[in-house]
Amino acid sequence: MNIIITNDIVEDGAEAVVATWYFEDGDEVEKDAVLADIMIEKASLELTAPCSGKLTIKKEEEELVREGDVIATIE
Amino acid sequence: MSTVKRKLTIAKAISESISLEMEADENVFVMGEDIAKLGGVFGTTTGLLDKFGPERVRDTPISETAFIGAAVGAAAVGMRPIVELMFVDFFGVCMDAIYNLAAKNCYFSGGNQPIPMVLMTSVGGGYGDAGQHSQCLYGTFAHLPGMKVVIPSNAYDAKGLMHTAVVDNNPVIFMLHKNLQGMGWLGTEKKSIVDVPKEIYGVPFGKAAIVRKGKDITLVGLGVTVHMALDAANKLEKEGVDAEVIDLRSLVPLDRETIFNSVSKTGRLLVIDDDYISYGVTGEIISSVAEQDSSVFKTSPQRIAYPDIPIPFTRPMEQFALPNKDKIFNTAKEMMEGK
Amino acid sequence: MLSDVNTLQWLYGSMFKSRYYEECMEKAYLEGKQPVFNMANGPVPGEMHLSNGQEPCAVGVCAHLNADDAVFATHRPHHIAIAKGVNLKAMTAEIFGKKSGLSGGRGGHMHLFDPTVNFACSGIIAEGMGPAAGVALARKLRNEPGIAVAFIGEGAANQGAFHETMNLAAVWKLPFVCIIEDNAWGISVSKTDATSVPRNDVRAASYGIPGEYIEGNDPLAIYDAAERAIKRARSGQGPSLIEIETYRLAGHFMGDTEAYRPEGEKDELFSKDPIPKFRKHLLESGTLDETGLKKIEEAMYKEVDDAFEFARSAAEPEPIEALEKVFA
Repeated sequence: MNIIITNDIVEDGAEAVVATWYFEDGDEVEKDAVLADIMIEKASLELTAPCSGKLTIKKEEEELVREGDVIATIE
Repeated sequence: MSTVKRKLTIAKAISESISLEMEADENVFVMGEDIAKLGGVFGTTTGLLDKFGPERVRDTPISETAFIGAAVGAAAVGMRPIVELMFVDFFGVCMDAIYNLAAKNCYFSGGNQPIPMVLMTSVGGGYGDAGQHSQCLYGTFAHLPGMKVVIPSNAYDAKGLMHTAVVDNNPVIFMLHKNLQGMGWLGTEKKSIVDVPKEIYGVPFGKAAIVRKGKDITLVGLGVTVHMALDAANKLEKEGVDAEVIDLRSLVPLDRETIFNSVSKTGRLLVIDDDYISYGVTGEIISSVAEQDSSVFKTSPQRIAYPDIPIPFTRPMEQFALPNKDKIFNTAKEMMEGK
Repeated sequence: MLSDVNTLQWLYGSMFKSRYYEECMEKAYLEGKQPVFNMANGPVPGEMHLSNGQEPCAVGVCAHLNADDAVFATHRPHHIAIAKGVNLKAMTAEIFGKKSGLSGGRGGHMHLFDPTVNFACSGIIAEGMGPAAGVALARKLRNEPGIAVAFIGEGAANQGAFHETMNLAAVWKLPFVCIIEDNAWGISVSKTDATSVPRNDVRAASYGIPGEYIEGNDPLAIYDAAERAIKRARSGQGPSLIEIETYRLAGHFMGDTEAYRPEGEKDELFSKDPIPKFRKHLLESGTLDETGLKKIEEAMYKEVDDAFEFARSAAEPEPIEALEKVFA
């Protein structure tokens, strides 16, 4: 399952940055686990896991993300 | 214990710990400046207002003497307040309630009126917040009798120490280093973000942690200096020096035994503290070992700490003054060479 | 009602300078802090508390003050420092942490000291109150002219030092004025949630001194009230308290997302921005025409640009200078 940056995380055209990954690439994660902190200026938003499975990170820390970007996948 | 990995920042671990304690005991409540809606300037109380409501999660006016004094009174009649002093530097306006009341009432009352409160506060600098927003003051609080003083270097310890603090029937000064909180806007030490179990668990007071075993030299740190010591230890390893790194975790009570045992083994002691050097933690650790048995020293013990100056704002001065992994590495090397 | 053209021009010029200064400061502060906002980075590290919107408080009061009148300000000091006549180049260099800064870089934006105009500010809430009363006491003991003004926020009116100092100044009849800039927010906590009375002017009664509340962030109303209070102080009648309704157009500190503000509040405040309002008043009253206003504005742009240029190109101190100036 792709974890996509949606409009309620990053509004139209805005840029956010992946601040902290709480897991490593390849880790097993549970549904609803907090995966990462996304930062827009000083505000911090939590990205939670929509399902359980193995996490593959697509956007690393300090990488910019925009609406529509795939930040990670969970299989 | 859950097996799935779950990493938290110290800030998240603290708010989770407080949440669990508030669920477990209705006498636990939280108050401080900006701790309700904002969840604390350093993220210590995120989510608590929504979960527990404004009666138990209270924003206060800027009146530290009043609300910290109030915490003492509430604790005296059996509540368990967790009160936040936003920056440890603000202790000046309310120290009477802390060191003269919270710390002494148990003693003055012959043990009949213990004060089970937690005073959590942010410490540390290194990011240009200048002399009234960057201090550590470990020595100041550890020196005055009657208060327990703890400082976690990572999220696992943070959550466990907070449990121990809340259930302890004594006043606990719970220090949270700003460089370790995990607030994105402050930059953070990644090594402080670790696996944290979901359930309640305790980390004992008075027990230092050997976070890296070694045989050549003992590096003692607390809070952020633990991580500096670990970084220095990695560098020393490449030079064939095997450093043991101790995380104090608890200043009062202080685990003198673990430190002494380590120095007995290595013969070399280097203490690192980002609080002012004179009359503080580094002097206490060194004296503790020396007075027990100074023959354990293969070379004179050394300390790296903040000079006795008000903390300067400008980056070149601030970075000059702070301990760092290079200072630790260089001093350790000199000690290995018997200087 | 103030009609002196020079004073009116000065009021506008100082507010305009102040606002442009904060806009430049915001830009400088954000350098190096994007995309990841890390407070430690960039040419101006640490915290930054901007005064956008609060300019009328500074100019309305400082218009009546001389160099030997002391002013103590808070962690949000720039507009007051500018109105008091602090050396702008040295002030900016200080905020950039340079050797030619007011304190050689040791203080930064919350610890600006300019003894030549008797200005100081500091970072602990209400802590400027005591020292301000002390300067007032010194003036009185030495029978010399000069009064003291302490600027605080409405949140500080709940701090012990405020109450103690007001009482002390009143019982000793000191030449002292306390100005409360009420911007309605103490970081995320509203005045309503923190203060037991809706307005702090009523608290003056507990000290037996006059108190006034000025609505609407109006520089002319502030000017008039300050004139009354400062006259009282100068004539040996003792202290006064003035609380001013003002607006914090930027966040508490740079980077504050202000999620705690009710929806629409910020937009409403921007529509009440005091500087365009005052500009309009000057035009409509015939005090100044468009050319006159532009002339003032050009001069202010230049003064601020020069100060920032000075600061940016100034040298940093040597790191070891950190050990100096602990003692005299």
